[in-house]
Amino acid sequence: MPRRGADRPGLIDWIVLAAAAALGLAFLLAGSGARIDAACFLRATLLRPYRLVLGFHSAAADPWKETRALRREMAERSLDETRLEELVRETARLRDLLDIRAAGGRSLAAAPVVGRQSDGFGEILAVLRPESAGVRAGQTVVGMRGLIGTVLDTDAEEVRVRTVRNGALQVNAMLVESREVGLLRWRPAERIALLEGIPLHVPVKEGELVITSGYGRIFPKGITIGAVAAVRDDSTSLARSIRVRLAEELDRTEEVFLVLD
Amino acid sequence: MLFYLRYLVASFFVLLLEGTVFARLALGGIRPELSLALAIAAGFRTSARGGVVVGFWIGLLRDAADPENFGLEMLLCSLVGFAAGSTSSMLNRAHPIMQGAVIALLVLAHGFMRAFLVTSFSPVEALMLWLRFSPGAALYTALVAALAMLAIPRLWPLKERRALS
Repeated sequence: MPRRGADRPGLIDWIVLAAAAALGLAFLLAGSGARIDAACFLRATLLRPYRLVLGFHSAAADPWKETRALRREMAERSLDETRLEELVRETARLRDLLDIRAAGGRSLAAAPVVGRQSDGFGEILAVLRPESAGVRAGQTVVGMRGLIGTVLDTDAEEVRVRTVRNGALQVNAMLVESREVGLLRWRPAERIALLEGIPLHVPVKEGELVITSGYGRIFPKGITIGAVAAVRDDSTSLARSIRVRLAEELDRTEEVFLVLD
Repeated sequence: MLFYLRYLVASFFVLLLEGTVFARLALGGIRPELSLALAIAAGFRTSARGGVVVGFWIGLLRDAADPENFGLEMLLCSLVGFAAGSTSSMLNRAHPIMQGAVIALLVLAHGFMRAFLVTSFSPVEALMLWLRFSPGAALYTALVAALAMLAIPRLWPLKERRALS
């Protein structure tokens, strides 16, 4: 004979069932907010010990997996950070480029720097030849902040640029406030840029802007070269030697712009 | 009182097992419904009233994990506990295979009702949902529950009926 279980449900059993079902239905038909509140309350009270144990289990179950996941996340964050920094730099560069276009109104062709060389006189940059632009020797090359130099020569892929830090390049320069014109030249031995030919009677202030004069038609007028760093008065000469701090940071230049005709 | 206290402790223990051990033993996303099996076992081993009370309690705990359908498990687990208690008088409740079969059938019934309510009484969707999870869950639950009942009797003999009366 099978062992018999409990008796058939009586009235009280049905009442208990009806009460439980009614409570369940009441919650089910209540608003979404009330249901979520009730569930959150239960989690925070009745299920708190359960969640504590479960949390401990999850953390302790596979520490290696956890560590690996954290390391991967750290690496991803680091990459994201680098990417963001690069984007910030690129945005700043593009803003500068827009400023250059707006200020100069000249047509420019961008060319990334791919190498640095030097001849007997100083620095030469190798840049990638822009595809669409016509490139010729003597063409002016500028950077984000100012003058870079001129095109020395070119082949099918690269353009060599003689920079203002090359003693073979002379630039007709002008002091912005006094409008006096002199000749700017790089001194490789001293590693300074000197503006010569400014008469002694001309007042020169430190920080005064130096731009291209446009004389000789080598460089267009008005390109920033740098600012006056120091003024040297030579008693044996009738002119001043002015040390110029170049605007362009040539050691860190990544991209230059060829000024198109 | 001791009866309910025992099921109270067992319900937490079973929920922990579901969340830890059996979460890793899921087969194709199907886990055994151990807490539901406990509600069924409570009804089956005691009475309809015991099944409803334990089912309601377990439904309450299960609902906390699903705020969107809060109340649904309270309703369904109570019904399932009541059904288990109602049928226990007609069956050999000491036999593990019988217990396993009742658990499997009631898990299927629970899954069917749940699927209908969750899909807002859409027959096709409900049937698809039910077929996707319930048969597997019913078999898995019945198997685990039957094994547990074979192992547990010495620790948990059939005394609840006396405890309730």
